[in-house]
Formats: sequence, structure tokens, C-alpha cells
Amino acid sequence: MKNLRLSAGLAIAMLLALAGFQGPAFADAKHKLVIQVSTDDVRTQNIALNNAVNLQKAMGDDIEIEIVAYGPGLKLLTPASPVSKRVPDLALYENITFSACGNTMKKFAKKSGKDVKLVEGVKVVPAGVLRIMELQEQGWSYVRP
Amino acid sequence: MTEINKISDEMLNAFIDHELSDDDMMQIYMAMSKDADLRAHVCDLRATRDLVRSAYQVSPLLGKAKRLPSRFPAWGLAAAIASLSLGGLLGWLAYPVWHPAAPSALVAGVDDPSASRVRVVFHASRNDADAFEQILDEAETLLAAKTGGRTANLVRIVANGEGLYLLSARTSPFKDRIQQLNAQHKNHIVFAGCSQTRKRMKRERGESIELLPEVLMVNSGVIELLELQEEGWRYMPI
Repeated sequence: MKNLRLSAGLAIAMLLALAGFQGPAFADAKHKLVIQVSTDDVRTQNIALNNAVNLQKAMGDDIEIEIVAYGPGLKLLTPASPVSKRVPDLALYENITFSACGNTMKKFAKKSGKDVKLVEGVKVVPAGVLRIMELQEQGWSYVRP
Repeated sequence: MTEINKISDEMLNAFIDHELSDDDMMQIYMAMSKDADLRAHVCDLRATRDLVRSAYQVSPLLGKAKRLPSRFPAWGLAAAIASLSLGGLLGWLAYPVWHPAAPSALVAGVDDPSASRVRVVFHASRNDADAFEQILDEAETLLAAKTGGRTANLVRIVANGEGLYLLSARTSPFKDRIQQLNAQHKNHIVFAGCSQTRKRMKRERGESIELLPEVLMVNSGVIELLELQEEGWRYMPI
């Protein structure tokens, strides 16, 4: 038993030491958080981004963050919003994702007669609310600033 | 059994490095005096820090390597790996000694996922008195509901951003109600304020917010929300 514990301990320790030299695997991040942005209030949009930045700073590779924007909140991801300037830089973090609601984009396009332009680094999901629900079902935590 | 013993590792590391304010240091000393698991955990963290430090002294890895070139980088690396491995091994081997029982008190407070109790964390991120009043009403209803003859539901109210004003000793319109709820449902309701927000307000607006005496200060409101949900708490934003 002692030997087993010792050799298992050695194996684990070596694996741990090796793991430190491999690239980060965000699919396995310890914590996952989806942040909802559904308002065009600039202050709230800024807070959502601040939350993401602070979490990134505090937890590093231990966290994966997805910011889902829909309804009036979609503006955050379009050049029309002053806050959207911050988005492309944040999207460069491997563990921060921005998702735009496809439904809202269609609605906006119909109203204005032209396609919605998104800032760089944003992906499109079919429906924002659905996306948040799916992530929660997969065990993600959820915050709405 | 308290349910406010949840202190993040980040906070504990800052504690070990003496980087906290006197108040925060005191709070952790108090928590440690009551909690053997917490003491063991701090000891654990401290050991890890010391091992990492000694490894860095042999050969600085990562970013610092450029500034301090070693003539035998491979030896430094090997020593670092050996120290880390040794740390992991020691920790693993010593685990049964330091933790005679599972360290549940540190993680979950009074949470018991198998119980039928409802655990709800409310989130106040805006200074919206009407919405906050609704939260207090809902909390009161939850706490009044009895399961098996005793109050079993748990409520936490986490405030960050502008929501911090709702828990401020100077500006909260709900001082009396918070005090009364807290006294009436001790151990079943916790009000928590985000210390990151408090620091930011101090830095950006020169404003220092004193929180009501009933309010517990947590290092980060968002991390609190994240972790409670991971433990199975239901989340309700304003």
C-alpha cells in the first residue's frame, strides 16, 4: 500500500510538472462563466467587459468566459457602440469569447435594410438566450451585470 | 457552523504575502482561529509558495529567464521540476495527515446538496432601490418557508458595482430591514459586498464606502457568484 501510494504520488507529481509546460487547454478550464449583455446601457456594457477583464486577471487560465449579446445589447458588438472599441482586444484572449445573437442580427437587418456589421473577433450564435441556456445546462455559471 | 468561511485562495495567498489591509488580515486570523481545515489549507498554500520561490531562486523560469541567464539552464529547470514534483508528492502524501476528514467546511459552509432546501444567490449590480426591495421581499418569503418544521432555505445577497451603495452604512435605504433580516434569520441569510468595487471607488472617485455592520466583505463579487453557482446555488440578478 505504501509503495502504491509512493509510486502513484510520483507519477502524479511528474504529470503535474509536465502539464505546466504544455499549452493551456481551455476546454478543461476549471471555471466557466457566461455573461449576459441585453441592454444598450453603456455603463452596464462597460461593467460586463470589466467583469471579464478582472476575472481573466484573477483566474488566468482557470476560467473560460463567454459574453453573449442580444436584443439592444447587440450594439456592444457593433461599431455603433463606443464600448465596442474594447471588444477586439479582449477577444484576443483565448479564454474570452464574444457571441452575437443571430436572431437579433436578422431583426436589426430587416429594420435598417442592411446587414449588421460586427467588430472583429466576434462569433455568431443562432439565438442568444438559447446559447445562455445551453451553456448553463453544461454547468456554466451565469452573471447578468 | 458558519457559512461565511469561504475565503478564496487568492485572498489567502495575499494574506500569506502580507499584502492585505489590517482589517482583512484580522478577518482571516479570526476565521483561522475557528477552523482547523482553513489552518491546514493556509499551511499548504504557504508550503507551495516557499517551494515555488526556492525553485525560482535556482533558475528563474518563464519571463524572468531573459534578465537572469543561467549558465546551466537545464539544471535549473530540472531543479524546478524536482521541487514542484516534490511539493506535489509531499502534499499528496501528507493529505491524510492534515485532513483527517474531507475539507468540506472550507468549501461549502452549510451547503448540503442532498437536502431539499433552496439556495438562492441574489445579485445587485445597480443602485436600484425598487429592485432591491423586491429582492428583500423574495428573500423574506424564501426564509419564511419551512421544510420539515424548520427553516432550511439559504439566501445570499451579493452586491457589486453601483449596487454596493445599497449596502453602504451611509446611503442604504434599507439599513433597518437588513439588520432585522440578519438578526431574524441568522446563518440563513448573508449580505456580501465586493471589495474590488470598494477599492475601485476609492481609486477612481476618492469615495470610501463603509458597509453596514451586517455585511460581509468578499474579495470579488463576481467570483462569489461564479463559485456559488458551481456549488449548485440558483442565481437571480436584479
